[in-house]
Amino acid sequence: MYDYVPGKAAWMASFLPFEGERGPEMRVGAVAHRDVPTCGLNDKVADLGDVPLVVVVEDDVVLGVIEGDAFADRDKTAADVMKPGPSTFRPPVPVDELAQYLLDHDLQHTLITTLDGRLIGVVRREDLGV
Amino acid sequence: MVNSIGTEEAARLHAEGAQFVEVLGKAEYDEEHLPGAIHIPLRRLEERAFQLLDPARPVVVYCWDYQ
Repeated sequence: MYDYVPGKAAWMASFLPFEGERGPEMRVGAVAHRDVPTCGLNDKVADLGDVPLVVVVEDDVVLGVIEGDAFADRDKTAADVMKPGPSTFRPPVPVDELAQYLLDHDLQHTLITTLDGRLIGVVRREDLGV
Repeated sequence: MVNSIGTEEAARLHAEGAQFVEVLGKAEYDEEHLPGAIHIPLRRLEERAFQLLDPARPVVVYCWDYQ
């Protein structure tokens, strides 16, 4: 007998197939926008363009986010101004659970990553109807 | 004897036709489960395993995550 210790959560987050009443279309991975802008730690803020959110990554792993007033320091680097360690969610999280989380924590959006922290995309409140 | 395995090994066993058993509650099983997995709540595992499982094929039990 085997004990699959990481369990159902890891299976689904690894994009392996699953069955059941709550299908993949009702998970945050299905609604995530995958075209979110990214940059490296050493990129200059002035070079990031006119966008509301940039995700700082290294080898696709999320290190931080730049948004709002952080774009004002145009001479600094992404590493200088980013908010490190943003909270992230895995693709199989049900959309209604994430919607409630965003409301409870007064957040406008959150990042979706793989189990090992690689960026998949961003989900905004409007994607969830809240 | 129970061997702990990770996702890669679980996927291999699944592809080879192992029997997967979800030990969570019925509502959680109904929401989603691994393809072909059967449902036996943890508290009934010993009693029902003999009825539902083929002793000749590998058996993999799982719950939600590291529990």
